[in-house]
Amino acid sequence: MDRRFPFKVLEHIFSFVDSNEDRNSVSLVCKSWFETERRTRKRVFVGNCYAVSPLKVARRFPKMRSLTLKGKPHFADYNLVPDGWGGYAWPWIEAMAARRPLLEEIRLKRMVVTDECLEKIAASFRDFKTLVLTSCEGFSTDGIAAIASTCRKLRDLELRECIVDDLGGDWLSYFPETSTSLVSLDFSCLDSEVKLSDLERLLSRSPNLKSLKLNRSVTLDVLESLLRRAPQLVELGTGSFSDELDPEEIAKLTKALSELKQLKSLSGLWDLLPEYIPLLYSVCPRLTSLNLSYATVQMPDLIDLLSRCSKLQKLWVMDLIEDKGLKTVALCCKELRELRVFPSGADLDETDVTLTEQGLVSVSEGCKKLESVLYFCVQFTNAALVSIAKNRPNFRCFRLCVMEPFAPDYRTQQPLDEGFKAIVEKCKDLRRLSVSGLLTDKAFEYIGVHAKKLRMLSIAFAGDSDLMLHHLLSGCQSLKKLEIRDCPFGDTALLENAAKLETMRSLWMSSCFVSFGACKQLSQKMPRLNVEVIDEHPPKTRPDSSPVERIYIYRTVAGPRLDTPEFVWTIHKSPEVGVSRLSIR
Amino acid sequence: MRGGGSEFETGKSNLLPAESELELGLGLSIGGGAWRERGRILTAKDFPSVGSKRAADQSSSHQGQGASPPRSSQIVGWPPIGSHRMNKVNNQAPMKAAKEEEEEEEGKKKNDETKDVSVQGLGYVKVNMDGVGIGRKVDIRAHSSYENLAQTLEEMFFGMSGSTTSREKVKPLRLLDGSSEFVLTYEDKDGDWMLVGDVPWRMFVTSVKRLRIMGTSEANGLAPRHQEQKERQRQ
Repeated sequence: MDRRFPFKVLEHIFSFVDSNEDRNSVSLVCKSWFETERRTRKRVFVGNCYAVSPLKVARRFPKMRSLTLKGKPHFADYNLVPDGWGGYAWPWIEAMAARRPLLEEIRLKRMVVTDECLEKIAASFRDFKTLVLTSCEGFSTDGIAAIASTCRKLRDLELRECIVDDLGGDWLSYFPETSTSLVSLDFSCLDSEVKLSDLERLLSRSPNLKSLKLNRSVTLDVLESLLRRAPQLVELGTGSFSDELDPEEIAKLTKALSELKQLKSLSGLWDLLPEYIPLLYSVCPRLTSLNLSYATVQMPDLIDLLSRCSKLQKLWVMDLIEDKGLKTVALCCKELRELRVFPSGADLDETDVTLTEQGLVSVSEGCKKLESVLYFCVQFTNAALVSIAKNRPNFRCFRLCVMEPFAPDYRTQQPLDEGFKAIVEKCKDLRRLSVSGLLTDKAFEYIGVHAKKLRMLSIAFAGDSDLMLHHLLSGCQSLKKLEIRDCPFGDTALLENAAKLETMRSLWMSSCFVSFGACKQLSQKMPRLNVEVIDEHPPKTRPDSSPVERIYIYRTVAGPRLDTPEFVWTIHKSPEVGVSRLSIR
Repeated sequence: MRGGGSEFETGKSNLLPAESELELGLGLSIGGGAWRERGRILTAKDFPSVGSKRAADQSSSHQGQGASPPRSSQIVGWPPIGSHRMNKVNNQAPMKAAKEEEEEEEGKKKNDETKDVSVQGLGYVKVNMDGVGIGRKVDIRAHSSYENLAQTLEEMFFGMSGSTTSREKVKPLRLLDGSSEFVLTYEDKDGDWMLVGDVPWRMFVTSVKRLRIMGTSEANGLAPRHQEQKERQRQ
C-alpha cells in the first residue's frame, strides 16, 4: 500500500477532502491513511469538548490551524443546565498554546471562557486571526481588549449572544492604530457604549471590513457617520433604530444606506420605528439575509419592507409578522431558504396579533426553496402539517414549537401524531426536527420508521411510555443528538438500546423517569459512555429506584471528566463504587 | 423503577403502559426522604384545558384539580427561546419605544443583579436560597401576584408542583405566610433587603432587584421570628 501511494501523493489527494466527516472516514481506512490524514488536517471540529482530551487532539493534528469546540448541551440555552456545569475552554487553550502555536482560528460554542483564556490566546498564537464565541460566558471586556490589542493579524472578532461581564466600552480603543486587518467585528451582545471616535477611526483604517455588528447602545444618529466610513460592508448589524432624527439626519442616513452597494445581510434594527422603514428601501432589493427579530414593527408596516426583498434567502422575524405578513413573504420572497418566527411575548389574547399555522402553510406553498424552519405558534393542526409536508418535501430542518404543552390539534382535538408523520414521511432529507404539542408514542414510531437521515431531535412534554424512546433509538439510524425533557419514561428503553448511545454524540434527558439504578447499569454496560447525573437537589440516600433530575450521556474516549461541580456525578464503571465524584478542587 | 427491581434485567422487553406513571407519582409522594416529588413531571393532567385524551385516561384520584395549570411561561426553560433573546423582547404589546425606555430594557440577562428591572421588558431576577449553591432566575414579569411568584419559587426550589392534583395536604403559600422555616426576601433598588409581600405587587415588580430565600432564623429585623415547624416540612 505504501509503495503504491507514497505519502506525498496521498497528501495531495487528501487536500481535496474538506469535510470533517469525510476526513474521519478516510482516517479509518488503514494506518497509513490515518497517518497521512492526521498530518494534513487543518480544520479540527470537536462536537463535545468532553469526548476527547485536548492533549490527544493537539498531538494528533500537527498542522491544525483552526479549532472548533462545543461545550454545554443545547438545552443550556433554555436554562436547563445549571450554572457551573462545565464546558471550560481553558484546558483546550492551554494545550494548544503549548503544542500548536501556529493555530489561527478558534471557534467556541456554549463554553466557559475566562479572561485568562483570552489573554493566553493573545499571548500564544502569533498568527491568530479568528475568534468566534457563540453563547459563551465567563469573560469580561478586559479579555476582549487583550485580544484586540495583541493579535496583530486579527481578522475576525465575533461575540454572538455571549454573557459578558461588561466593564465599559474601552476595549474598542485597544485596537492599535496600526491594525488594518479587520474583516468582521460583532459586538452586538455587549451593553455598554463604545466611544464613537474609536469606532470611526477603526472603520476608517479597516478597508477589508466586510461584517460589522454594532450593539444596541450605538444610536441611530451616529450610524450615518459609521456607514460613510465602511461603504464596502456586506453584513451590517445596526444599533438601536428608534432615536429621533431630524429631516436632515434622515436624508443623510438614507443616502449612506443607499451607498452600501455590497450589503447582503441586515440585522440589529432594535426597536425599529415604522417611520424609518423607508430608509431601508434602498438596501432591500439586494438583501439575502434579514433579521427583524428585535424589531418591534407590526403589520402592515412590515409588508412595505418585505415586499421589496425579492432576493431574501434568510428571514428571522417575530410573530408580529402575522399570517398576513407571511403571505407577503410567500408572494415576494421566492428565494427564501430559511425562516424563523419568534414569539414577541405579546399577550396574544389581548392584542390583535394573529399568527397561526396558516402563516407557515402559506410560506411552504409559495417559497419553493424553503428548507429550514423554526416556528413558534400557540397551536397547530394536523392538516396544516400535512399540507406543509406535501408542499415542501425538501425540508432539512423543521422545528415547530407549539407553545402550549400538550396542545392537541385544535380543530380535531387529536394528537399531532399524523401531522408529524407526514413531515418525516415526505421530508426524506430531514436532518433536524423539534416536535411539540400533544404527541403519543405513535408519533415516535413514525419518526423511528421514516426519519432515517435525522441527526438531531428535540422533544418536550410528549409520549406515553418507554416505547417512545425505544422507537427513536432503534429506528433513527443517523441520530446523533437527542434531547428530551418532561417525558414519562426512561429506564427500559435506555437499557435496551444502550449500544445505540455509543453511536451518538449525546443524549440529554431532564424531568423524565430515569432511575438511579438504570444509570448505574447503563454506565457499567457501556464503558465508553459518560453517564452524568445532574441533581441540584440530591437526596440523602440514593436507592436504585430513585429518579434523577437530569442525565446527560455522551460517548467519550477521555473517561470521566475531572471538573464536575458538586451537583454533577459521573456514574462510575465499577458496580461497587456507584458514583464517582472525581474532581479537582 | 416502577416500584420493583426486576425490570432492570437486560434483554427483557418490559415497555410499560401509561398508567405506570401514576404509580410512580404516588409512590414518590409517599416515599419521603429528601426526594419529595422530584420525579413528578408535568403531564397533560396539569393542563386540564388541553389533552382531553390523556385526561380521560387518568384515574379518578386525580380529578378535582382546584389550582390553575402552570402557564407555559412559568415552566423553566419554556418556551424554548434562548435566554439572550428572552431578555431583549418586550413583554407587552409592541409599541414605539422612546429612548429612555430602551435604555431601561437593556442588559437584563447579564447583569440582573446590578441593573434595575426594566419597566417594560422581561424582568429576570436572580433567586438564591440559603444552603443551595446554585442560584436560579425567575421572570418577575411573568407573574401576576405574590402567590403566583411563591408558587413558582416553590416549584423551583422545593421541587413541588404548583398545580396540586394529588397532594391536597400541601399548602402553596408557605413562603409567604411565615409558616415554613423559610422566608422570601428581596433586595430593592436602594440595596435594602426587605420581606416580600409588604408593598403592592406592582410596586414590588418595579423595585425588586433580586430575591433570596432565607431561613427564618436569619431574617431578623425583616420578619418576626417563627418557630420551626418541622412537622410541616414537605416530604
